[in-house]
Amino acid sequence: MDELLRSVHLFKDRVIMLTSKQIQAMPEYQALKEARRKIIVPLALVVVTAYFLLILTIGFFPQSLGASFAGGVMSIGIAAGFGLILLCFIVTGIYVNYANKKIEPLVQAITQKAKGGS
Amino acid sequence: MKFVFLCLTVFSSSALAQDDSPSGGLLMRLLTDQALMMFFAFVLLTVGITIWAAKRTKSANDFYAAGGGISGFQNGLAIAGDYMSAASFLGIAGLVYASGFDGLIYAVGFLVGWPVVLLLIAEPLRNLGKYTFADVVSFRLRQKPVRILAASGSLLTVILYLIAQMVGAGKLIELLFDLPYESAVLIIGVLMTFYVTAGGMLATTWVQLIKAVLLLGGATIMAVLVMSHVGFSFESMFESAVSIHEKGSDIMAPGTLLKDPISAISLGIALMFGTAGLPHVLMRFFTVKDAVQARRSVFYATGFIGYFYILTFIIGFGAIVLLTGNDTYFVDGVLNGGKNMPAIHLSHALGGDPLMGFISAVAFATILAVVSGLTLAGSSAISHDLYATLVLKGERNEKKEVRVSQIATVCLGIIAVMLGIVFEKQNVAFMVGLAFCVAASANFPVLILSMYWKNLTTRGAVVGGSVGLLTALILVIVGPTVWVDVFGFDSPIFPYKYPALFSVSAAFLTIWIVSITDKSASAQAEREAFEEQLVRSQTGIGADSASEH
Repeated sequence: MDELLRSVHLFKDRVIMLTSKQIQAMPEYQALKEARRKIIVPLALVVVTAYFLLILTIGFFPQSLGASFAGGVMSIGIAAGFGLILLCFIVTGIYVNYANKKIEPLVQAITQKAKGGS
Repeated sequence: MKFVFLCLTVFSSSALAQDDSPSGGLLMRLLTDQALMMFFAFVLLTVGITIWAAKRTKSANDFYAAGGGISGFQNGLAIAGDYMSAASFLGIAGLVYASGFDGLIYAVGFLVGWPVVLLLIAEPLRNLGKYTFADVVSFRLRQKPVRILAASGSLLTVILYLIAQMVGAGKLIELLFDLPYESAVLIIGVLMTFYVTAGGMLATTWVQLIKAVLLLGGATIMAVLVMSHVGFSFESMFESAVSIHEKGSDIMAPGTLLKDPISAISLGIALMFGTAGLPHVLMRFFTVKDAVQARRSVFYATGFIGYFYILTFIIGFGAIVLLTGNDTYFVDGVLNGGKNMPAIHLSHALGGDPLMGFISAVAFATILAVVSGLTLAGSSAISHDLYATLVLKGERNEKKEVRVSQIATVCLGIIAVMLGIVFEKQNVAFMVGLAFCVAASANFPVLILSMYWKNLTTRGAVVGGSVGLLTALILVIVGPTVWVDVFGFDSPIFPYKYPALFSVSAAFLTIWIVSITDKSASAQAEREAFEEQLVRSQTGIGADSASEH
């Protein structure tokens, strides 16, 4: 009974033909979860690792960041800082591109089915 | 509308008060009439927008979420605007000017939180919530205790951040416009209260958008002028900076900001995860139509914020190159106005009075826009999370909720002005740090686990979130910044300035232990509700479509 009420609360004001149990059983839903996991885990790891590498270097070997980057005055530390900013652009770009191509069609397919479209 | 009138009266009287205020004598009046004109033009424009927005703000959805009609691009710009506070513009440029690389640590730390928000938070947040992040946390947990916890975390973050902005702003305006400090704080308090009570999220967003465009434009002009001065070569900019700076080539490496590994890791954690727990930023995700737009928002926001920090970095180095040795900007060998002023002086060195007037007016606009967003987030926590749950007990009454929100805004405005005056002499940097630390220790762990961890229970969230919040607060109080610098004791009980490593770990650990040992029947039901929540979080089916009305 509780669960039923919760479902009613969840999907009120919507024309939903399927319960959340039925959506969970859909192959598209499993594919959606898998598609998200496949992109989110590696990208998040890349950003967190790169950032904490810089932070740990600042903490343990601060002098090493002062070394020249390419023979000039620009240091490795400054180059790494700029590199991280660039990495943030790249990661958000990759994710948004992937999400539009791979995730969005699955979400659309599930929504269509849930509304009784097919 | 009566309140609007009252606000305008108070504002005009305090603005007039500047004419007969004692001219200070100690402070050099920095600005010309051009700057004052630009400043008044901005105020008039934003008041106009607020009156326009007030006519369109009727329902709670309008008030909290601008009716859900903000596009992904606009929201990205507004989020970037929330982030590009005067503290980060003037503060980071000042830090780069003083010690080079250390400024870049902050800039990078503030930015790396954004990919995390995009990957883990933005879409589930939009799919599960309505107006505040407490909506998400309380989705399958018990409303009352969870909302009290989330609202406490939100309010504490907002108030700390607000004090920091208020004090910084008061100081800046006192110096630039030769106003007494109290009047400066009062003007900001009155204007922000007016924007938020009358125009809600719609006015707050548009003020933020205008300011973001002005600030990005102004900073771009400055950075381009700096780069043209050094022949558009980073290498020659660094060369002249290193040859002229008193610290020499040390400015290219970590300096005195982070003295030990623990501080470095702690600050890193606070900056990266604090972003994902800032209530005024999280609230912006409810102003867009759906998860697709939420995703787009973060993409644009990351672009704008990253671009802005690169500009700020160039401006800081430009200040080293152009200001060092120029007596116009120094009083007794110290930079006039203190360590936050290099960006302002640089604008004068680059473009004379007109550019300095413009940049000063933009700095003022920045402060106003940021404090408005903060106040709105604070008043939403009071009305939507506390009042609606505890007093209305879930009965839907949007009119009352908005009314309470407006009253809460006025109260927060008064509190902000009073605390701004009380804390005038305090070092504000630690309050921004503390705000990020509370956000990372109390808000972030509860929010992320409620989205992704099946076993989270109400008891775990409430106990763990409180432990995170209290640990952060207590460790800051017994740490060097408060225990030694404020209370005047000889040595701190807790040796590190930044406690995030300990408080964030304490929060996660407590949530985990309390949740898995919670054998109550309600805990079991909460775990079982997770799969259903995940369906909505992943697909957006059943999500509150804000634009629907």
